[in-house]
Amino acid sequence: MTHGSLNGLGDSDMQELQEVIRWFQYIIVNGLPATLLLTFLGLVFGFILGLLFALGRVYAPRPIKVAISTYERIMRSIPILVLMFMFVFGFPGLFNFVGAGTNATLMAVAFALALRSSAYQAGIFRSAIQSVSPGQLQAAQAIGMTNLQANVFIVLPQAFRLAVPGWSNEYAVVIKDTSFAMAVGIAEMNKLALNLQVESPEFMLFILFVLTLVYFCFTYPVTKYAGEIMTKRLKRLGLGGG
Amino acid sequence: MAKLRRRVDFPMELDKIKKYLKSKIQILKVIVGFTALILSIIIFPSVFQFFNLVSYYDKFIIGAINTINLYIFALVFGLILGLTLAIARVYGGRVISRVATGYIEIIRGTPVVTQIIIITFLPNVFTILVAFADPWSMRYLLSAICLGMNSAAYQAEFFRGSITSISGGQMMAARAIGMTRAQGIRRIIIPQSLRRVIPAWSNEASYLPKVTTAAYIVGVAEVFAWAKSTANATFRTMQVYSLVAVFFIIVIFFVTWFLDIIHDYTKIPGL
Amino acid sequence: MTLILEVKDIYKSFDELAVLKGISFDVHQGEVKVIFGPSGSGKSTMLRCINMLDPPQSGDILLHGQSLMDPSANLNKLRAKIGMVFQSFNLFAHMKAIDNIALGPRRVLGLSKEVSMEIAHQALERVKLSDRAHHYPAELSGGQQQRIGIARALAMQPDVILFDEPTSALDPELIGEVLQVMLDIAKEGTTMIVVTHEMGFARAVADEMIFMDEGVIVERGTPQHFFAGAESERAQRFLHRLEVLYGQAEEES
Repeated sequence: MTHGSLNGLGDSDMQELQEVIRWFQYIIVNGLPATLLLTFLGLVFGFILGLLFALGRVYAPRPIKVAISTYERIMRSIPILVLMFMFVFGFPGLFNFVGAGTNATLMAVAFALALRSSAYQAGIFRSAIQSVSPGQLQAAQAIGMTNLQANVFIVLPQAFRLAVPGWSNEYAVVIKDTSFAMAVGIAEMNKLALNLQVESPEFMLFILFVLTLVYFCFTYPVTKYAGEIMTKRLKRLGLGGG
Repeated sequence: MAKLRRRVDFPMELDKIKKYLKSKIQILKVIVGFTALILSIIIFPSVFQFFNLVSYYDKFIIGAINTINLYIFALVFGLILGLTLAIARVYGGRVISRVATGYIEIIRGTPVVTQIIIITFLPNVFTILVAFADPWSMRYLLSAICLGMNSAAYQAEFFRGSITSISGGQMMAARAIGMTRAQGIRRIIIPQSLRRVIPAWSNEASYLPKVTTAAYIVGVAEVFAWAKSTANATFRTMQVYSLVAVFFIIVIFFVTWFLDIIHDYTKIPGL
Repeated sequence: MTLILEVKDIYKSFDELAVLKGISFDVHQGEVKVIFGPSGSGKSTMLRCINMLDPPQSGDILLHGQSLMDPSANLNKLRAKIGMVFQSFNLFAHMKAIDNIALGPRRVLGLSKEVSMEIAHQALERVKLSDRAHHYPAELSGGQQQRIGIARALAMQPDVILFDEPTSALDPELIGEVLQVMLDIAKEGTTMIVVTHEMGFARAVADEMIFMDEGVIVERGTPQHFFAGAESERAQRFLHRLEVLYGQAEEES
């Protein structure tokens, strides 16, 4: 496996480069699926809970509203790391239904992410619902729609479109937060990279730089597209502004 | 002389009380906040007694102080750097504003965990840095700097938003009376944008305490590190972690309350 | 003529401010009532009381003898028989024009998709906007949006349509197209209650004009009655000011 030298790179440099690439592949192949899985689970459960909480905060009777908003405030004040440790180590066996060991830890972490995300998503949806122009609701009532119909056909569809920029931001937050899972033992990309620190700190640093690019590729396109382009399109349609 | 007794209309009295309270709400906020704060400071140590963790209290205080230090350092560092970045992004030339934007987008698009590992491992690679201080202090300092750089990127976006929200007419008026661009920025734009940014900025100020836990990952002895080691030692996992959670809840509550008061008192009327 | 709507002694206040102080009138089939008066007189509030978007504190509203204030009444069903055209159009922003109009028949009246679409197309033709069926509200001019709003009300085939200053938010050159549609449907026999400043419209089709000021009906009568010379001083002053504004009279100092 000899390659000629390229632009002054000697053979040993090429070998080093190949080793770095191999390490990098190893880290991505073994770590990225965990990241994506956790992100997906956290966002989806967070979405379901968050939507329920948002609807509760807008439509439910006063005591429920207060309860939900207190929950939100508390969940926003607890660091995700603490939440993860609480569920992984504080409730042993709770998540064993998916299989003890790594699977249970993964579920616990996903649950922690989902709880946290639900508090933020509730806020996003609530403000989206309240941003729908009041005139829309009045027009729906004026043609005789029940409150349920008015909300399902007029308010909520517009609220979902309004929520897209904020929601894409939440996606970015969750995928970044998965990196904390390394602390509870999940074989996450950062943790796998750290394994290199003894052997070769320069490699590790380099790989970590590349890791940041990987994360960047997952976050920036989404937030840029959903954030800016969606906002422009919403302005064009004239949604919100209420 | 017989007094005319009027039957008090109960709902109306309740309304009047509510209205009176609403008008005094600013002062009420201060009072309630202070009481809550003092109460929690008094009650918190006794919770330790309740959980039989008194022997670990001192180490907790050290961890808490480290967390607060990291927080304040990162917040202030982030404010200065963030404001600079925002100004660079809005008023800088082609190159400077692109560089600032690049910094902001990359930092915001990558996890703080990865960033903090990179920064705190720099001395391992660039071993000259070790000459500055012992490894532990070095890590502490580097973590603080990294958190500051991270916060700066987020703060920059808030500042940029508030700077651009100030109408172009303000700058035009400043130039019209002969101010240079720099003077206009310093004397007209920034003071207004700083007042306007407080609600958004308090979002970041409330978020940052939680981010300091990333320092645990690289071995800094902040409050979560205390929690982990105490939980391992005493096996009282839920109690210890709940204590730490409550600690953060109290800190963030206080920060939010404090900034809310400031916002009330520095609001520009009509803005 | 059948009695469609009875408004009986409506009182409405916002917190301490009394906005309507005893409003009463009747509307018969095919009538066009024009309500006018200075701003703040409570005209729009009164319209919103009629379809209970903003219920009055006391009084009654009867549609075909059924009271809307009755707690046991099916308010949604009654609202379906009262159409409303808003000053700010309030078209459903996320739906195309044709869907805006078809939504009521489909979801409220429970008609099938085909029938709803058929009704919607017919309503669209009446307001002369068939070629804009698949545009979103944001892509339409103000006048077009308001005409869609009228079509949306027409599609429900209501007993009476309420118009809340339908042209006040329009650029002057667009007012004409909306007024033309309103004239057309008035001549076709639609029962309408219109709050407006457009005296030309009133003169053309109003069966009765009602002048409101400070929450009470000050004077009522046919258009001829008002334009020959109103009785009450307040009405005289208001009409005179309108005429000065539109250049039909000289300002008297």
